[in-house]
Amino acid sequence: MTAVPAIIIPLSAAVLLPLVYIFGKKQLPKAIAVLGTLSLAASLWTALSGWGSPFVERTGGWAPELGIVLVVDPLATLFLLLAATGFAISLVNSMEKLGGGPWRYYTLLFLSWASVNGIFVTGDLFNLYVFYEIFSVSAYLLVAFSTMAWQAIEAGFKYLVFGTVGALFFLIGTAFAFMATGLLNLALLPDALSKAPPATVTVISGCILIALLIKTGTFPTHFWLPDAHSSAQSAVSALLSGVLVKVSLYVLIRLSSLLFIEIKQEIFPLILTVGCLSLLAGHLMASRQEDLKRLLAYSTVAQIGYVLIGAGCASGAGFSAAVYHIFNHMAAKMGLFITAGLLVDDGRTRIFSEMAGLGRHRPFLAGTFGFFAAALVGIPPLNGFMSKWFLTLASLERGSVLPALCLIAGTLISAEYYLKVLKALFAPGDAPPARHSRPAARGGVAFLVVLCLILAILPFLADLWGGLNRTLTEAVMHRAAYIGRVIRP
Amino acid sequence: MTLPYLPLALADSPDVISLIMAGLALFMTLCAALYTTGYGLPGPRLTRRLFWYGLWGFGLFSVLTVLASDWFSLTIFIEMASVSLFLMVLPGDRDTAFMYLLTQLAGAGFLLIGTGLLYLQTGQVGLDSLSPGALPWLLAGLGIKAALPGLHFWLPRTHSRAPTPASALLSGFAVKMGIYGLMRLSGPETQNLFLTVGVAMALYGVTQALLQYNAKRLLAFHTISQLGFVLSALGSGTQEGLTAALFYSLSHGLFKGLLFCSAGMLEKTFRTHDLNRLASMGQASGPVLILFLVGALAIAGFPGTSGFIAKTLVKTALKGGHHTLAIQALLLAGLGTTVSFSKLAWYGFLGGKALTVPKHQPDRVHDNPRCLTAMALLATATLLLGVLPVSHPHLLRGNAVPWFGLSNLLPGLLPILGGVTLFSLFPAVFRPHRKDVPDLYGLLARTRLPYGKLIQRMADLHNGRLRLYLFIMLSLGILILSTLQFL
Repeated sequence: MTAVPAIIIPLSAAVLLPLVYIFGKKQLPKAIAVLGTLSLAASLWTALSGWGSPFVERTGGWAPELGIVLVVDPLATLFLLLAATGFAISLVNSMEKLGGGPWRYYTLLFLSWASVNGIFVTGDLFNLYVFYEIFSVSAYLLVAFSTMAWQAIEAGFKYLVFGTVGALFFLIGTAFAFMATGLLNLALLPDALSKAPPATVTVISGCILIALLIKTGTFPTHFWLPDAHSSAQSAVSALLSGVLVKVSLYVLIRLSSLLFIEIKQEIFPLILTVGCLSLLAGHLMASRQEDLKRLLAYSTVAQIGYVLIGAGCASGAGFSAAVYHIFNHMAAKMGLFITAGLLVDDGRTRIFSEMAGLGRHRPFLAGTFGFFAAALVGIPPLNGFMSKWFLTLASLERGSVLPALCLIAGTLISAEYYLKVLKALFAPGDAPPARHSRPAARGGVAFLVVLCLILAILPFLADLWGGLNRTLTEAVMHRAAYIGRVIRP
Repeated sequence: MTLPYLPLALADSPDVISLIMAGLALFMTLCAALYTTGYGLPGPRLTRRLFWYGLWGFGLFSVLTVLASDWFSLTIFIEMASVSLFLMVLPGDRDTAFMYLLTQLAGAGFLLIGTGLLYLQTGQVGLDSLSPGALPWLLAGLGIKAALPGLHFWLPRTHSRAPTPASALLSGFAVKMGIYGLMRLSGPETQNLFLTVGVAMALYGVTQALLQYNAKRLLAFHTISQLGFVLSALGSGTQEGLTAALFYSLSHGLFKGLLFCSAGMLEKTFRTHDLNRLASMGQASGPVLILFLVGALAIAGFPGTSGFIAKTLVKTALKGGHHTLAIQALLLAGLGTTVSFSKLAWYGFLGGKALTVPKHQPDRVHDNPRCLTAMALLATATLLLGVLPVSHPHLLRGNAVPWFGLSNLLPGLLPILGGVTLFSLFPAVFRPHRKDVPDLYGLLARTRLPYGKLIQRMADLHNGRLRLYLFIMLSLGILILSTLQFL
């Protein structure tokens, strides 16, 4: 079994597309479709083969001390699935809107897919950094790649500045870890770090934590996120909020649970605090927005806060709840961004108070928008409610009620602003100026609705939920298994 | 700990409390549905359609709520019932509906925290398990649903603006779901709290009701007052008290539903529920008047109606616990109830001054037979409940009370006679004044919290200056590093 195809196929797709463009322009849409299907198949195959029997691959046959290892364990599997879903939907969406035209765009898309898969499967700190940078660079360009010229370029530039500062912190952390231990392998580092001087460990954990907080877009370093997520075109916005933000959260979960849970417990209260702050600030800022896509982007800031609350609990329940919420947010927020994009295209305005009449004339879009909003707010029995319950439980288990109260406050504020949007959409008004028929986008929305429902039902299926949970908790909390798997010759 | 798997479960063998509540829920939903068919909902087609989904959803989920076997399922079902009711309030007034939904979401959040604590402290979430840590949260959550004083701010506004069938279901059953949860919490730990809060609630509700000029708002405050009676019955802490609370909830659901439906008929005929204007507009039609009087007599506790039996049961239960002060307070509340309903009957239904000088005749009397049938059903049930326990004493499981003995009849009749006398002796005092009496909601809306400024400050930070952003990033870095190093 090998994890290489999941990286190499999207990566070669990114390289092949320009060649196809040069030698046979007409074949471009077909080529994108074929390469997209192949990448999806490779990601799914890698993901599913790693769930039942986690495996480790030593690239080049080097020992873990020297070479790079690729590890596919249940946590990586779940995130590979998440990325595959998100990229597939986004690819189909962009194909419908842009056609096969802009090959640069698709190159960037495949490049980020390859790097994201690489981040999920790599077991090496520096390799992680490299993939992270490839991912970031393609994300900056994807943000800037838009028809809304200067706004998108400004947003991309802002993202670039923030991302670079974050990457520098990450690099400093990695460098210190290497200097202190001479190792970069994630499985070997915990043991080696425990022997390093405490001040060094503090610097390493602090730098990596700051880097990840900047890159996830939490309050108060979230300034790039609303611009980036709202200026990009809808397919990219959906991808950014649904998948790409989750990459940083994956790194946070992986590194904090593997490296710091024993030797630097102190980072978890910090994560929890930042989570609560992000939740409140994100929702409060979202409630002030008039631009629909900016509102959704600020709501992403808040939802990252939910995930950080889960991760900050530093327990099996907390991490599982965080991962569960990551999936819920992916399904609901992608749906929101896609429906919002279609509404914006039809209404020719991004200010939701000017969208009167869209509710009546586009009942499918407005209805699904309401559904996803309800799912995200946490109206029972939808999936957001279940993740709210699990996050509450995790934070109570840790002995703190405050995060749970923040969750309630978040529910109220978000319900308030989504109701405001729905009220505006369903206000009486004329038919919108334009009509775009986008069957594939609607298909994607329908798929996401089904996904939300499946995620909502999941906790009520005793065997499946129990099994999923045990596997995930073990993958995150049982560090010895991960380490043993890598070290074993 | 791994994340728990908790099924949505109904009780295997529901007890009599659940069964009676479920029966009430079904009956009220059907009556409301019948009433709606003749009511003529306001609003655009979409909200009218949502109303019907909400109505049937409410019927389903409220039955599931009272049949649920554990707190987790109860929380989910009670919330789904609230969301359904939100859809029913929508055609009346959107902003009110939004406010209603937000308060109920907050209630569900508290219930969720309580359930979580219960699970963590006892390992189970059954309705019979209780832990001291979970209790305050469950009380807060259910308190919002049951409109306990302080948490009741959403109720008067929702009632006065919702379409009448929604108000009838809200008072008739939605608040009872909170009461149902409180019944499950009643025990030695909560006894004194329930008694105190119940008495305060009965008095507060009736005082506010006396000051209202809006018929539906008046009825809303009576809901609070009547729930106070139920809660004080629970506060007696005896089995008798529980029976009394159950019976009171049942009969209150029926007659309050009836009263709201009659107010709705008035509103449809005269297009207002302002008592000042109604007072000069003429009399309600005969059948509506009779049905209203059944409800009014029942809420006052006139012998022969369910209200009398319910009030007597509550008093007997409180006597058993030697809570004389509470009984006297409740008598006072009963007196206030009578005065308030004399006012409503006189100005609203009998036409007040217009009795002698008819000024306006309504263009069209709203006399839809389907509305009247629904009301008649509620009235019949009210009267039946007033007679059945007398003729079949075993229904109340051995609570054989000498119903028409002097010791019960006299305290039952005294507040009614006193109230009517008071009202006819001092009509000027109780004349409806067109003045809004401040309630908690108004006060809450008026208090300016500084958070608006805070958000403004935060928004000001988003000014696109990269220097500022870099500064914030670096100071966050320094903050985190120093926290990790020195704390």
